[in-house]
Amino acid sequence: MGIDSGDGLFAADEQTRKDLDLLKGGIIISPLSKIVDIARKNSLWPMPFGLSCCAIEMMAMVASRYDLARFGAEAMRFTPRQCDLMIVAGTLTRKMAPACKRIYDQMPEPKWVIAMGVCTTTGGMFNAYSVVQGIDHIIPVDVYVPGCPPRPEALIYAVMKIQEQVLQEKVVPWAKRPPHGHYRGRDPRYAGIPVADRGVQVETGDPESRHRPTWRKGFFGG
Amino acid sequence: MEELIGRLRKSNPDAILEVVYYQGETTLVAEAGKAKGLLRSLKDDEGFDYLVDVSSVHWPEEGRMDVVYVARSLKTRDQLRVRAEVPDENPEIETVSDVWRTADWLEREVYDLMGVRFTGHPDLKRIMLPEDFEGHPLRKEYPMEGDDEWRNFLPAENEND
Amino acid sequence: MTDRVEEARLGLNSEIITVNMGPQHPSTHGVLRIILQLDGERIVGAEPVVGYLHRGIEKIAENKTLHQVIPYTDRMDYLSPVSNNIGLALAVEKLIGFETTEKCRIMRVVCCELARLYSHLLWIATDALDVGAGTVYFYAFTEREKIYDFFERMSGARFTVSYGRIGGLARDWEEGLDKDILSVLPEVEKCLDEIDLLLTRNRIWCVRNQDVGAISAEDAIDLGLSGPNLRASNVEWDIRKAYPYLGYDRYEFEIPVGEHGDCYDRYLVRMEEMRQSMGIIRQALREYDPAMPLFPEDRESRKVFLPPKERVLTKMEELIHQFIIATKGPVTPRGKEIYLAIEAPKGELGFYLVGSGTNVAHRCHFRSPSFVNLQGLPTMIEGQMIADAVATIASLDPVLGEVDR
Repeated sequence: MGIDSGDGLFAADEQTRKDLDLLKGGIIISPLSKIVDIARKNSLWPMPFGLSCCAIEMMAMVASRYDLARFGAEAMRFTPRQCDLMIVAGTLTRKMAPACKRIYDQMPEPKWVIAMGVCTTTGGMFNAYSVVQGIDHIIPVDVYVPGCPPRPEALIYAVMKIQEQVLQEKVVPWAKRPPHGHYRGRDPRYAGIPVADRGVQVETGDPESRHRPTWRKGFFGG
Repeated sequence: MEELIGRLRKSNPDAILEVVYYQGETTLVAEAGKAKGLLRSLKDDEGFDYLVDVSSVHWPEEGRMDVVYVARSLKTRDQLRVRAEVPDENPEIETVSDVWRTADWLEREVYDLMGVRFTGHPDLKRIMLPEDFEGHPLRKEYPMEGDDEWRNFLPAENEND
Repeated sequence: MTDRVEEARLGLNSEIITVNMGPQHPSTHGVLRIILQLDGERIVGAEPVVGYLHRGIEKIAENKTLHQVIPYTDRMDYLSPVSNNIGLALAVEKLIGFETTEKCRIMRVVCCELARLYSHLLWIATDALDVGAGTVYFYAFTEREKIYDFFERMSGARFTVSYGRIGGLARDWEEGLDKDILSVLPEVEKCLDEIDLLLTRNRIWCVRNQDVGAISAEDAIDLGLSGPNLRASNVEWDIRKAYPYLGYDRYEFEIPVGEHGDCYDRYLVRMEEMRQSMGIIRQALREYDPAMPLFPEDRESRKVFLPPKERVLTKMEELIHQFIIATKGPVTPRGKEIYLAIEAPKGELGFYLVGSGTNVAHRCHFRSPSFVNLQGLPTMIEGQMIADAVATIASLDPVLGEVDR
């Protein structure tokens, strides 16, 4: 994955390598959005929504062998208000679904969701009366990780894919974040559970809220 | 074990309908109304102080549900199963949660999944499924993937549909 | 209680507040919800609400052949999946009346004890993390990874292995696996000694765990606790000694029994159990001989147990047996029921199987230890502070996959 450019610089992709080349001269020229994106991708704070067996592999990912701290994402804050990456690990049941949706709503923008394991992707091996057949009936998902449970390396790869998505966001403080993630849509089986809107924080109480940018206007200007 | 059953027959006449032996285990088939008396004398007189399990089996073609209790004596290591048969239209049986406190949640689970009502239970409500769930899934006629009854709620007011 | 008297004297008004803990909470070990009634910080009443992970495994098991139920048992107690698989295999073997070979028995004992080791290692990792000692998490997980390596070599998967099969195990062990297990055990022991050094006589650990979450022996028996929770309350009860299965009566091991029934005793009991498990593994591997057959050779067993792959691909009879066993599986006798309990790391895991006359069980009920242990939670935490409730839940070691099935 890394291409050695000959003088010891290990880079993951073309653009970053060009930036690092510039760094050799002591100067980086980069759009603001790029810096914000790089800072954001290397400091994702995951919110581990560990429900069942996949949570154990998530814990193993944070432990020393498959260290997630290398990617800057070891700050697993269990409060949704401080996190940007929600890793749903384990089977989601109908009793738990409103809690999952509420926690997704509480996360501030920008946020990403990893659906870890087959239970979150499609309900897994549990085709039963109480299991939601995939969390994308309820919240939009950015990366799906198959496996029962997926190995910690697979989950790290998922975090790297999220990092790639973050890099492509090109966030500037005054832009509105476009809808993200894959959302399967309302399944009549889950009619009773309210459904999250794609990419916008719903429960802020302000009728203008869905048009409010993620950063306060005039943050850099005034 | 034989003497044990003999003593139980004396103290609870007509409670034991049948005794089954299989693979080293003893099962007493008891009459539903007298099962609690039998279990109480198991605990008080014979020293079966540990209730291992309460579970249930549904036999739809015979129209009955079995409520199965497994009790054990920690000192003598004796283990005994008591099976009480109730009809499956409105299954009801007396609770044993005042005999062993273990039975509290176990009976709630049987009520939740099978629909057997335990009279005298302190707090008989659903434990595994959401409170507003309708139906008792572990019955044989309930489909594994879920029933349409519970699916068709009125959709929530959400303009982003 | 003295707080309220004091408050009344000062003329302060206080009410009982209801606080919801969970289902999404860092220290609830899964999706456990507890509704706490608090008087200040003191807990006056607690009501655990479970069912947030109810996946309907018992219902699913009524629609699948017995072999197909094995992966579902993995996901029940997902901290020690191998012991669940082997337990189900033992239960079905008891129902249909089948005996396994000696080598299979030894391998199963080693797998069960390795499962106990790594379940308790995860328990100590999360218990210490909840109480505040975060370093132990990393030490314990390093040792767990070593045991995961063994399971990967045995079966291909790290922890939801589905290794047990009815009549035996999925595969034979490769060359040298038993020697590797024996060589890793001293490293695990060293790690346990380090954790001991960090925690056992640590002032903070002692103060946070002694006299916290205490439960008496009568209450424990009445509430149906099992496993280390029961043994810590001065009740000497272990299924491996009481109803020996898998030849446990041939091995010499002791059951650690606590005195006070508080969190500290549960900690000591589990740490000692880990050392005893290592002793059992050593004794079992001394009897292990790779040349022994894993598969029984007599005619009736051929209808139950999957034949080895080399013979399936070359001989006709084994091919037919493989097809029938894999698609249909063993037939359960109609109306017969058995209950088999094994000493899972969490407690007494019971399998209640009722046969139906076909290859699908009529009823497959799992008596899960964590479900019954959680009933004891309100008794244990009444009168304690919230932080003590966290320590108590951690020391009870509930696994919600098992509680809710």
